[in-house]
Amino acid sequence: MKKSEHSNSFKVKNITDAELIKRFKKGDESAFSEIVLRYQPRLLIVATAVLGDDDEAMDMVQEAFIKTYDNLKSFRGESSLYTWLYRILYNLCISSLRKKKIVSFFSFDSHEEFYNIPSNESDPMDNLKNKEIYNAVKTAMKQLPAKQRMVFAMKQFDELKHYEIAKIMGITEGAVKASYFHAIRKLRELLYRYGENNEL
Amino acid sequence: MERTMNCDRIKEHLPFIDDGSLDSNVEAFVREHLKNCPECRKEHDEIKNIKRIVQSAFTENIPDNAHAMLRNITSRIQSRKNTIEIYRRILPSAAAILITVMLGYFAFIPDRSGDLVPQNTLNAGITDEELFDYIAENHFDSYELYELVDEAEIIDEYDLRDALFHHEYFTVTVDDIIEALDYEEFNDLYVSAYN
Repeated sequence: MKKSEHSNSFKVKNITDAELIKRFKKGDESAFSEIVLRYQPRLLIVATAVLGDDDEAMDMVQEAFIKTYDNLKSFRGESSLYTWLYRILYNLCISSLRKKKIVSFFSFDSHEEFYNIPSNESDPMDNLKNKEIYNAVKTAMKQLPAKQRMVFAMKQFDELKHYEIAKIMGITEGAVKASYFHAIRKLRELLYRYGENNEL
Repeated sequence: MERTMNCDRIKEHLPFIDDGSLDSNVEAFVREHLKNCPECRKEHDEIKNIKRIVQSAFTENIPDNAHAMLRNITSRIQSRKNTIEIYRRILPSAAAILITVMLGYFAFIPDRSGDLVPQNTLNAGITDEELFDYIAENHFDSYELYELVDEAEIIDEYDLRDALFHHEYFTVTVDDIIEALDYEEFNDLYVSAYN
């Protein structure tokens, strides 16, 4: 998503988030639909990057919107709507990852999984190659700690500012910068090693 | 050494140089350095490349399904609203039925208010009947009841049992009998039954 799209996304159909919230509070349910359509693509990319699982990401985003619906009437507007949405999504993702951590404690989840992604050489289909890179990137993302994933995803895909990410995650701007720096370094290391054996 | 140190500092800024988050002076300094340092330039290119790969991998593979998800969300919310509506409708009827059942229960349950020991007390779950049977069987001949029994013309344990159950026909009362026995156990039972 380009930066210009990001800044314009607050005024799709010339209606601001604040106006949509106001309309929803007055009983206009279509305002909530507009919020879903406006933010779903961005939230879905971030959730997929953080969770590494397409289906689970869909469930989490859906859940985040239902929580939003339940609480939108009491939303006081002290933060922006998208900051609030990301906060809800972040909490859901962290909660889900914690549950999975208990499971992965008993499994052998290692970097082996990443390096064992099959090469595309035997398959001529471009879309398969594309999928393979996608899976490689998702697997590389999984090697990062959850907070680094979240920081990286929000910064990379939604171009959120450091202070916005800090607010969403309840950490300092310094921690956001450090997380992003380490995430980039680790991804570079993993994906370049992958690229040595496969065409990226 | 000085150059290496400088490169290390520069590399810390490389992930941020293209997103506008660096101070303008720092950014200018880093860009100037990149012009003259192939090693840092290579690292900068690699970072840009990684960002590009990750960006395209996700944006090209994540389906555009916002409308489908909206339908799911709307359906879930609607279904929940319907459930709440059903509960809202049946709740008054359910409450009315419950109240009726409770009133009926309290209206028709046996009146045990006169029991010395309620059946549900912890005192061994003993009933009046059991207590009176026990006293009649075990204490008719007792020293404690001797005078009382004689005065009330109670001639045997069956009379004593009757006296306990139907004391209105005898000159002796349950209180008299319990008091005469003066057994702590009976007093406890008696007290708990009436408090």
